[in-house]
Amino acid sequence: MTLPVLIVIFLLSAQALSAAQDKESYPLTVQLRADAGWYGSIPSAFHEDPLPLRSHFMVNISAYPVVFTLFDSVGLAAGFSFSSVTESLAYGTSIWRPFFALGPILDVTIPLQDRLAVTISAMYSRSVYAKTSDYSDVWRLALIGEWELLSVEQSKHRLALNIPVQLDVRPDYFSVSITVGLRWRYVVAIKEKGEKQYEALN
Amino acid sequence: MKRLTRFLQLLPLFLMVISFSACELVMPKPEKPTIHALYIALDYKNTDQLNDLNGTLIDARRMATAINKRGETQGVRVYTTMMIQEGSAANIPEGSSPAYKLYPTRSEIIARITEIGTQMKENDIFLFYYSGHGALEVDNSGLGGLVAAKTSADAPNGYEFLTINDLQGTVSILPGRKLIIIDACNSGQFISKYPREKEDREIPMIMEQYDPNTFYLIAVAAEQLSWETAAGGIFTNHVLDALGWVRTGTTTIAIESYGTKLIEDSYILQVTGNIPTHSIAPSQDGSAIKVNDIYSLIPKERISSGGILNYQDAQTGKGPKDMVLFDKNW
Repeated sequence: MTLPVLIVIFLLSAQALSAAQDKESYPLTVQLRADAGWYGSIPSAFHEDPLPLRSHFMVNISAYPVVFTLFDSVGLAAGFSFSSVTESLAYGTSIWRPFFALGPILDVTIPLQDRLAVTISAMYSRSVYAKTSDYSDVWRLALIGEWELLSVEQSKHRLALNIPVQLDVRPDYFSVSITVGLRWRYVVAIKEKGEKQYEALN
Repeated sequence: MKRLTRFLQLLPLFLMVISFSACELVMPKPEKPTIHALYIALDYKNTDQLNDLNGTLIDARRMATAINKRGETQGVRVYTTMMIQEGSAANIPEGSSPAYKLYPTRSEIIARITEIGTQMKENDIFLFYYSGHGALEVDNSGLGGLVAAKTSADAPNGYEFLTINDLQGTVSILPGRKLIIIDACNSGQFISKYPREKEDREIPMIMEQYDPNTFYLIAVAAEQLSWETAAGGIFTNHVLDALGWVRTGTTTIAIESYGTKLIEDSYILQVTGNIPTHSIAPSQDGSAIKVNDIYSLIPKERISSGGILNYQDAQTGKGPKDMVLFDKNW
């Protein structure tokens, strides 16, 4: 499936869910997530690479204009994500190329304890090797441990420490990554229930 | 719930330990490579069937000088072999003479590549540079490829082809990593397809042609023409610029060949231009010069000739892998 078709399907579904949220007067929340860390490319046999794993450095930035609560405080966030991965560490005469990736992302956050939550994230992206403009499709699945750092009663802001463990699936090889970052949520709409109060995802 | 929480806390640490145990920092450092370079250039002045080329010999000599000078500054040993066809028919060496071994006919080019391979180790680099005519080869017909030198003054055909299969078949079996640099028309046809998709990897022909240890710097796409001026090939000039070549001054350099091990041959190369001592190449990134970085400095050219706009777009291989040509940290 081509990228434009996927983006259209993604945006339509996000719009539909957003409309459902408005109907039930849930709070409108936006979210930003940024993380950075180690990225490991796993060469396939046909690459005949001298190493079983190639180490890169990765930075991810994700913006979620659509965030809402489904049930039992389970949160759903939809947006776009951008990743930049540096070239690998050189090993002898071989090195793996740097690339960028951009695409839609969908997160489901499940609260575990007061401050602890886990997010399951899926992303489709078009990745482009820097300098060669050679592109590839990448599916990313992530399991993100979240620890609430800042959660003040009545506050519109929520800040959480993130530790994402990610798997990238390409047609020609797999990659894994472990990063550390922050997730910031901001409540922009307020649900009225007698007296004014804020609601946010947990 | 507690178990799940503990599992989630320990998972990143566990994966990090597993990952770093296999990474570049803990694996044994590979042996320092040697560069084995073969330069081929032809001016076709010994045949009436092809246009003369005036910049090719200059290109090969400047490239050889630049690679040797960069080898010096980066502390990398470079062995150089030059196969040159220069001048009129009188300059064709006798088929049985030692000089004929360095005369770039199809069979001698293949023989020299194979011989150089016998001197290479697993970590070494083979650098193939060609400057001359190229022709589009249709359906592996053997008619097309790089235009090699005519075999003798009275040969019935003015020239013969070094085909895609000739080059890929000879180079792919060499040990180490290979860099193919071609400044010729239609040279994009020499880049083998990267088998990104599973369906590609199930086609034997694609997998036979694909060599993951061969890298490319190619002047043009398969359907394009490569252009030169009297000052050399446009593509080669860009590659030289990326290596830090300046067009002023003169360089005289004694290049190292294999001596009695292969063809006893030594050259004193004298060219216009130089790589200034202690200069840093524009393509150098940190301690290394990589193929990707040289490629990224080659602009897309639009050349107007006879009222027709010609595109000259340099090419390189696809996929995630890249090659380090020089590294001070080796």
